[in-house]
Amino acid sequence: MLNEVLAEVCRRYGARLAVADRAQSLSYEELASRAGNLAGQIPTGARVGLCATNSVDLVVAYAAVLRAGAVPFLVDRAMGPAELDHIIGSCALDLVVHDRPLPPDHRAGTSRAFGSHTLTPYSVAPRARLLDTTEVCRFTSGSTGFPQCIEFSGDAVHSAAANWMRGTGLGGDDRVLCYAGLSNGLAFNTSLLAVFLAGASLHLATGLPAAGSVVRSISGTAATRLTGFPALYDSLARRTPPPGTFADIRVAVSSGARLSTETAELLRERCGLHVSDYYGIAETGPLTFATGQTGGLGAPLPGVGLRTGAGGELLVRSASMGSRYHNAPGVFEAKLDADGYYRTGDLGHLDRGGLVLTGRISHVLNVGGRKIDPIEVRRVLCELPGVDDAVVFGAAKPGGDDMVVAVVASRAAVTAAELRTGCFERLAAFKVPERVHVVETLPRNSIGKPTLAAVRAIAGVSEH
Amino acid sequence: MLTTSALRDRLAQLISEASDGTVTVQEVLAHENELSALGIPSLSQLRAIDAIENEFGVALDLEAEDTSYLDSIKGLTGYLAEQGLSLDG
Repeated sequence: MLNEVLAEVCRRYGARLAVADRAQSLSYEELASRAGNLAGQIPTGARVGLCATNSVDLVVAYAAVLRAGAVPFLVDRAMGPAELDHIIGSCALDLVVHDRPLPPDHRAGTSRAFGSHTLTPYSVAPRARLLDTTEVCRFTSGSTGFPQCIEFSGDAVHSAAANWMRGTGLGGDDRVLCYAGLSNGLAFNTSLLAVFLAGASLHLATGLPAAGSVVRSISGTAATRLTGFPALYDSLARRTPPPGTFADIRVAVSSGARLSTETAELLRERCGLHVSDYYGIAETGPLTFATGQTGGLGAPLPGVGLRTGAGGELLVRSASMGSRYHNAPGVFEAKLDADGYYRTGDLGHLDRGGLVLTGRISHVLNVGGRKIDPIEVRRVLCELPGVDDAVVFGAAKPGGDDMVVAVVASRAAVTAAELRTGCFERLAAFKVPERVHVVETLPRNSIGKPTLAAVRAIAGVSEH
Repeated sequence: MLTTSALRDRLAQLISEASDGTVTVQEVLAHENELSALGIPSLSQLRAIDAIENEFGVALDLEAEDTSYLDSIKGLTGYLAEQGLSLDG
């Protein structure tokens, strides 16, 4: 259905500006026509990985895959060789669209040009079926030690976009400046189909979201909305641009990690920028939106049900929920209760209509909005030569940023630098422990489990 | 007027400070031609860019076709000079 939805909005909004980056811009009819031209290269039913930096051409590629009746798999471009290998294999991808060389792979065929990108075919067996309703797949750093592939129905993707548009008042005159990668839920759900349903325009920025660059892009695009992770707003707070800078910004969205109170207050009081924090998770899509009327992370969006379950855990059900993990059978289903509510791993409740999060049960780490499974990082460390065991955890740096820390047991002569290099060769850079401490043996309790307090003391870091 | 060598040292200091203890000034200077080899996380890179723009009153183009200048002290020094920062020696 997503292809029909896109085709319909492209007809309806014709000559309006649909998507732009620094190099080019396309109207809705041009977007449809460019996607139509590329779709011929994609066989119906193919599984197509999209692994590239945000650009107009990436949006065209996404639309082309849908137009071909194929299934796009949106892959974070930061993924390292071991993660890509697992994604291609466990999802049996037929094709990958990419903008940088991919690691050598015996399953890969001959690459060819695909617009400004490269298209590489893969031949992977065996191949588990996708659900008949699945139209888009995205990934999450799960709890199984590997990236988990979430299958989404067309209805779920459409509902996420339509409910975001409705719940946040996104309109045809909006110009959305997006700094988050389109493979991430923050951008995918708020700044792709949602923008097109509204007949608005999407402006894709690349590079790190440093305040100076963001301010210039706001002015260059006359943006009315800003989409970014908390780091973007922290940077703005550090530079404190004058209030006039944000005069046209109606909605600034932050998600992925907690926006600090200091940043939110400073931007509101000194820059006149009200940042709306929202709560969303990869498996369910956006769940709340803070308009200023409600406290905390805001009120539930249309189509969202929130409740507090056993032990204070937040349970959610949404019209934009994924169907299952394609490459981890049963794991998603096990997180649903009898009423189909998803266990988020977050502790939270509604307070005067707004969601308040109070803690986390899940072991997944969050650094600036990027989710890191410590089990995956530990597995990679333990596979490196000379490593006997490792503990991986999160900690706060003195300046407030979060980081991943590893304490590694080794009786061989390995150095922290070698271990970090080994991780860089296998993992996305954001998953690589920023501090690695090598010890001969890990401190253990009476049943032989590493004691986290003692391990933290070795690393000399405070609680995450 | 700043000398090139003083600018180098100052950039290394700003980058180290931005990393909040992950890399020292000496490590930055030892890897001055390939900063990415230090594996400085993007949150720290962001802090370093803010600090450099703030201190030297310049705009670093993060969306340029080629942003490799950001990955070395030499590249940054050259970029700052192009932006009108006067250097002596």
